[in-house]
Amino acid sequence: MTHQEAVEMYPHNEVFIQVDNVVRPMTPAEYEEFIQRQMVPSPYG
Amino acid sequence: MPLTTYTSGQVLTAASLNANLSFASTNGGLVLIKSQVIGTTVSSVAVTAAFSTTYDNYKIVVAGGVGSTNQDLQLKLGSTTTGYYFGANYTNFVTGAATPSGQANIAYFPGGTYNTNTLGSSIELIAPFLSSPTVFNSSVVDPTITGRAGFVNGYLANNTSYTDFTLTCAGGTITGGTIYVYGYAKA
Repeated sequence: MTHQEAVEMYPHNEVFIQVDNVVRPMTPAEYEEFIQRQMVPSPYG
Repeated sequence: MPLTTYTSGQVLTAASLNANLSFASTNGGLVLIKSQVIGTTVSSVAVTAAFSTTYDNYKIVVAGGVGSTNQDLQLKLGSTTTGYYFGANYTNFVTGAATPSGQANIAYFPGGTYNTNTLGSSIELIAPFLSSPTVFNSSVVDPTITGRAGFVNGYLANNTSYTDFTLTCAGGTITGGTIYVYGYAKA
């Protein structure tokens, strides 16, 4: 998956981070890390 | 209050029964410490104040929910992103082929799987709160008809005491389901 494909599949306003009961938007840095993760599949997935 | 053992003909009072139930809830086998409902399209869920001096060993179960794709959950303790060592051995449902795998000093433990139909995890942690290496045991099931299942065992190579953990999606997001944290009673 390319960077653009990952962004199109998971727009910034549609993915979140949860800490206990609080669900919040990702910071730009967190979102970029999330997108990078989509581009490198887990070896166990 | 200690557990009361009754004899034939003895009167069972409400207070005594309640005391026994209270004893069992904190001393019997697995004790539910906390549960956390997973939100919608989240890429990670941090659970705080999960580990303490009350218990040495823990069971984490994730049930219900779905993923946006077929991927693994990654378990991290506290903010530690290095020092995870584990060995895995998976068996393919269809072919029976075994796939052993070893990983040294990476950023997480494999902590469950998900796809668009299901989300599940069963993890045992030995001594995450103690100032010693944490041992990790988990079953990993790829829930597809051509998938695989196996066990993963390993440890986190440091002496850090942890109270929190995070489950992170290796890819995509998860929605719904509940994370249950249990403690193994010490006595």
